Amino acid sequence: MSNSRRDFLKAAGMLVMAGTSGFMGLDQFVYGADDGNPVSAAPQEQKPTLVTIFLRGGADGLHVFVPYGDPLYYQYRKALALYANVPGNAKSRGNQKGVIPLDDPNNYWGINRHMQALIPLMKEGKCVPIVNVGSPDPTRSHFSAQDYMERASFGSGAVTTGWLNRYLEATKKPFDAPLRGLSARSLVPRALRGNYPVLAGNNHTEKMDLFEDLYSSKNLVGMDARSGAGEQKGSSLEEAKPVMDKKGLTSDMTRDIIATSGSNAVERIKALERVDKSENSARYPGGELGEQLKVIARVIKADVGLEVAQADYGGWDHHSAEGGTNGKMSQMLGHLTENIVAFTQDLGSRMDRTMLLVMTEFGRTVHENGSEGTDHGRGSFMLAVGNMLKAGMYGTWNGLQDLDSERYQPVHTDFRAVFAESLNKLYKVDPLKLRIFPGFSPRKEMMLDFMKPLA
Amino acid sequence: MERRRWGQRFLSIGLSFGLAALAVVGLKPAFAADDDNQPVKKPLTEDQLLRKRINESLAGLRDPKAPQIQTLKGPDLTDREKVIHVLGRLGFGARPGEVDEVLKNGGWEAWVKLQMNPAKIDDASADRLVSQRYKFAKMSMAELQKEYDGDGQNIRELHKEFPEYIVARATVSNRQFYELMCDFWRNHFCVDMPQTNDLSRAWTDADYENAVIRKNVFAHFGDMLMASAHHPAMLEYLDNKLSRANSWNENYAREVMELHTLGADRGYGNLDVQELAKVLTGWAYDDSFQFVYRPEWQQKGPKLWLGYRVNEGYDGGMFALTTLAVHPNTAQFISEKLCRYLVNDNPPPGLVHKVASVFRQTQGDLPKVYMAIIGSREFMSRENYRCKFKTPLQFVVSALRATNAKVDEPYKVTETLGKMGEPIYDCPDPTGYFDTAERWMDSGVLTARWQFAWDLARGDLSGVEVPDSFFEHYKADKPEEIEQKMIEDLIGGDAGDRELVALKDAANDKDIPKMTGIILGSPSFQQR
Repeated sequence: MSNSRRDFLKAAGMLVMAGTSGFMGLDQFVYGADDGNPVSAAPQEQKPTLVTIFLRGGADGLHVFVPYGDPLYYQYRKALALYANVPGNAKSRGNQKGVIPLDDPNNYWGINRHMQALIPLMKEGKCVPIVNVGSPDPTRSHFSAQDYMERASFGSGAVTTGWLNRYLEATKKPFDAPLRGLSARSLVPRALRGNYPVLAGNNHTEKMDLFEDLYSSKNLVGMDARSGAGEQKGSSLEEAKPVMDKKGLTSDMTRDIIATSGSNAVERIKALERVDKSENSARYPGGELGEQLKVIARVIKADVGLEVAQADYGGWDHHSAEGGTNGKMSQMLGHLTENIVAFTQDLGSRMDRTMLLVMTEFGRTVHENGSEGTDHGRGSFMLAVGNMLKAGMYGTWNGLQDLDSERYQPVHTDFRAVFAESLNKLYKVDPLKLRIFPGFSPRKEMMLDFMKPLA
Repeated sequence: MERRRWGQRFLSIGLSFGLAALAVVGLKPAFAADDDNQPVKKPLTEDQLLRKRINESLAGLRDPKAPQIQTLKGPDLTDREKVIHVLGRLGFGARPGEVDEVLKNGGWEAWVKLQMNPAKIDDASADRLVSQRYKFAKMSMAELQKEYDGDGQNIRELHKEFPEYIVARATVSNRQFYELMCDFWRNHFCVDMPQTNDLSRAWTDADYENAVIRKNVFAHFGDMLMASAHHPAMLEYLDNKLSRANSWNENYAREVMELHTLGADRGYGNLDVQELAKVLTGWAYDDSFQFVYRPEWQQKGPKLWLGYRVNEGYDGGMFALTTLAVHPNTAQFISEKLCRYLVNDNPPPGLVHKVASVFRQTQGDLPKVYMAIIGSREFMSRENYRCKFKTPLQFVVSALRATNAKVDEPYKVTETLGKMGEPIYDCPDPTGYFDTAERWMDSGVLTARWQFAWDLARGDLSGVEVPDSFFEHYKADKPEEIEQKMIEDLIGGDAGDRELVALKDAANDKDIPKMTGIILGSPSFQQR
């Protein structure tokens, strides 16, 4: 029996794998060096890269991985229901094949038809779904939920930085590569915000030379005087610490932040410009997501040390007109899938050291509402893509009778468990020791073990 | 018209439900009694009236529960700095020579007093621009429908012109505080312009801007809340028009509490969201884009919401919204947001508390709430001077104003706003755009600003022109003289070492456009 076959069986058996094999437990992350410092990679090696895709608006997980074998599914969903054309799916309606059954003898799990291009990747173990994953905090506010997820911290607490930025900050060294972090949008999303400078966008300006003087840290006559001129300094990046804390900003602080931000931009844009602007070796569908992934792929291929990047894909708040087989959300899933496939083709064997992680702030109500849509819920799905994954479906699934507040997909896996494992396996660090997830002390069985250690 | 009666309904319904919060109607602040004891009173001069208003607003100070006032550090602002502060903080920044003008005409207080009565400000230039160029700006809903409904070509034009209109108006209007607060409320009661032509409610936004935002900037908070709740643009944007008995839609019910009134997770739960959604079932609009309540869509029976038993029917919805409009959490949330916008990204808690109590005492009388902020010591303190980072809109409009730019067809400007992440009436989230440095400050935003500054100064921004007179004004024999004058005018004399170093070469060449570009792209110009 093939690996993937066995794993889907497990999935069908309703108890999906969680901490079942090979993971050494969190108190002792497999590759975590004792002092919490990362083991430095060989210089010529491609840096592992984690690319997150944030589906903003709260994507409906039930529309992605569809439990078409669960009779409750067709009670909750009418206008939105997706049907599989398999014997035994009594409800299947003629040609409407909204669901492609996965390799699952129990005829339970299917995938939205518009995502079928992922099935070969799933069979090879290069794409794994995680179900019933989400936030331990029950907020159903988009803003709060996205904020909590990107900070990996809850409430309006003291942690204001993003989890990806905290990783960069915790592992920084003098003379770091300037492009360890990248946002392909024109703004840095919360997950990448924080003390470590991260470049946003690729919209460099022709007039950079002019403003380089104005913002360059080398020209800071006054600043040098303040910080002790002539002092031996490393990379100017080392100095670059925008101060943004909970206290009020004064004029001087604001100006320093602006200036620092500008000089960081100059350095990073220059690094980005050095990246070979050659064509991507795959065709991406038109649209903003494709544009973002193209830039990220080029930077990865340039081997300039990119470690974390985020792309955003908005518009998943389907209170109305979510639609069925060929509805709006299905189309968007198709678009997402085309982009993922293009990205993996573009990167080729570099997917050995690159992982895509697709996430959303919350799921939806399992019942559809009266406007062919769904309202804000709790648990949803994640999708990991890369060559370092273990085939299967992850998370805990007890059937659709297992609901939160009788309305929502439950959260059985804390998203921080997925984030922590990603950092651990990709970068060989112990994210808990590095305090990247303050307040998170998972038990061993909470970890999914969906990734293999990198070669 | 139905809409005109909302203000009255707002009060009468609230009272008929015996709302405790409304019982304080007519309650005067403590100091008012002292005034009454004066034997014969001369009518107050306008200055005294302003002072009185400020004092009234500060009544909240006497609240024993108020947190300690933040210790304000630094010397007082000079009169000139105060003028720079109000022009930049309560408007989109000074035009050339405007600081001197305001100083000559009574200083910052006189300016504020005038700005609080926008009808008294001559605004012929803005009116001319609007009536000449933007036909939609003064159309009624019926006229808009006739002009745009179903007309794809026309709607596409509107998509382009509507943001231009907002930018142009903010730039040329003399009613600067009014325009600035429109920006605040536009983001608070955010709606967007959908791209699809068939379903497009884009043109209803033109009415929304007038009937919801512009009309109510100086009204009670509840007026604006009611207007937005009844407007087709909002009913469509947050899906309430789809909400019916047994298939209610929670989108609006959630956001009206989270974003418009109480604030996220402040004193309501998910059951309250569900119940409010039921309360508001049947709130929709008809074929002529007028609000309509459809009793047959209303969820039957009373609803239990926020501890109230809300009756079935339209009045139940009015009760709920009225309750929200004057709720203490709303007072707190709106006050905090206003203080963040007008004072500091992390507003002093003492000030927020004070402002919230004014909000509560006046049931959200917005001019009084604004004055509670503007009249505060915190607002005018050294610590809060030039501490805000301009949002993209504030940046581009302030640059256009600072250079006296002639705004013909600011398409390039609105396009740039898109690149900077703030396309007007196109915010991806119902939160509206944020206005804190923390949200905007990153390298992508700055590089776009450099390009904009340069293009504007060089005359490469089509549809917008900096007049020759602007550059000629700075012609002088000595480079230092040019430099000093420009720094004084454009960044209030607040040039750091960076600016001075960067300006040196251009000043020696007497290249005034280049100097303009550098200053507009400098860190100092990003502050207000």
